[in-house]
Parts: sequence; C-alpha cells; structure tokens
Amino acid sequence: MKKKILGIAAIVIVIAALLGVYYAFREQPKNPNLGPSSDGDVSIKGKNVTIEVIDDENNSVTYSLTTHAEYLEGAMNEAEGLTYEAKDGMVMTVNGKRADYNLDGAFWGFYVNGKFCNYGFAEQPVNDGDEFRIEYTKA
Amino acid sequence: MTNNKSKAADVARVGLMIAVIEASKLALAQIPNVELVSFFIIMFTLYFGKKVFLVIPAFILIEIMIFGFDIMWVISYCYIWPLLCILTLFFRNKPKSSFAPALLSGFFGLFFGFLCSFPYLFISTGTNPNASLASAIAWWIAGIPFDVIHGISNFVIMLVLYLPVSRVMENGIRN
Repeated sequence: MKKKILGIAAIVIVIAALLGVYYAFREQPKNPNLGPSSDGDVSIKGKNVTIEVIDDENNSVTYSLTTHAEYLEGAMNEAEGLTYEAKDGMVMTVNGKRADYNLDGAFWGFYVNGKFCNYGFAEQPVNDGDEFRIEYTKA
Repeated sequence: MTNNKSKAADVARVGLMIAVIEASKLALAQIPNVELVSFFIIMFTLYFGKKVFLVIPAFILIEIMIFGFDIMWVISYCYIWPLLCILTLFFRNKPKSSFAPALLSGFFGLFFGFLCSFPYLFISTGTNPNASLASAIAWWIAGIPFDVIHGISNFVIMLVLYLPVSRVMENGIRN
C-alpha cells in the first residue's frame, strides 16, 4: 500500500513539474485585439513614427502616426494631411510645393533620424520610433 | 521438426502482435495521445520477452506506409519503443498487480515528448550552436499538455486492462 501511495505521489509530482515547466516557458499567445503588447512587439502594436515636412520658407509641419507600413511610402500614404506626388520613384511635390531639380533647381531631401536616407522613399524601411524629415533643399 | 514448428509459431505470433498493435493504434487515432501501443508492447514483452524486438521494426514500417516517412518520428520510434521493451524486461516475473506496469506505462507517456525531442538536437542550424538545443526544448515544452494526457491515459489503461488481458493471454498461451 505504501509503495502504491509513493508511486501515485511520484506520478503526480512529475505531472505538476511538467505543467510548471509548460506554464513558465510556453509561447505566450498574442492577440492583436488586446492593443499594444507589453513585450514591444511592433508587429502587433504598430510603429510610432513622425514625418516632418520643411518647405522652402522653412515652415515645418510634423505628422505623427502609428503604422504597420514596411516602407516610408506606406507611412506617407497613411499620414493624414500629408500629400505628395512622385514621378519615377522621385518625390516631386509635397503638400502642393514642387521641388523639381530640372525646373526649380531644388529637391525634396529625405532624412531618417537626422541622417540622409540611403534608400528611395519606396524602399526606405520604417522602424518603430523613426523620425523622418522631408526637407525642401536648394541644389 | 519441432524447431521448425516453433519457428512457424513465432512468425505467426509476431504477425499477430503487429496486427494487434497497429489495429489498436488506428482504432484510437482520433483521440490525441490516448493509445494502446504502449500497453500492448509492455504486455507482449512480459509474455513473449525479446521476441517483441522483431515486432517493433515491422510496426515502424507499417506506420511509414500509412502515414509517410518523416525522419523525426521515424528516428524517435527506432529507440523509444525498444526502450520501453528494455524497461519492461526489468520485470523478472509477470507482476501480479496492475500497479507497477501502470506506473511504467504512465511515466513512459509523461516523458514520451521529452524522449521524442532528441532528434531535434542534431538538426543543423548554421551559425547558432545553441539553436538545436533550443528547438528541442521548445518542441518538448509545446507538447507537454499532450504528454500529460498521454501519461495519465497510459496509467489508467494499464490499471484497467492489465489483469483481464493477462488472463486472456495466459489462456491463449496455455492452449
């Protein structure tokens, strides 16, 4: 009888230990309906970015948005109030202001976190916390 | 002549054991991790000893024919079921109570996932040497709830069926 009790106790302890391991280390389910996750997974909560536009008179407008866009083009499309026109992958007009190098001797310079973007606006990756600047630049 | 007769009887027994194991497995296939394979392997090992080692490769081959070849479970089956036979062989005499075989079967079910995770240790993972260990542990942890079901069901099945099936096997062997 004592052996049976010990046997059952052993099996119960092993089950409890296994379940303890499972609940401690299992992969946590992620529910997009719960809003921003505490573990900072931007695939769920989105990426917080700002896009600042500085025109030829040094007027600045900043757009803050939360986006799932992979590239800056997508974030620009989502930014409420920001309008632009592009031709052959080059942004020519922002908020109605044209900066065509051939016609105006100027261009729209794109910056991310203070540094000139290495990619075109359609390929520039968007990361959480990025601060983009689109600046009218005289050549 | 007697030797040939006994060989023929062994072949028939082995065939019968494979059929019983496979049929029982398919019969319970709809219920996750509730199975009679462990039960019958333990029973057959108790009654036919090392002859069960002939049953396991054939059982694995039939499983491959039915479910297809997957290197992970095929490798794990190649050592898991023989391990159960070896553990059962430690019973020198057939237990009179169902409790000891039930414990063996229960613990085997509880650690089934852990034992099955070993092949993941040998997956080539390129630059990260710890990734194989991590994948094995993750695979094992993800399946723990099923291992618990497996362990409890194995324990209960053996507890309930050991004595009646033992009686049937005793009669069968005597006749």
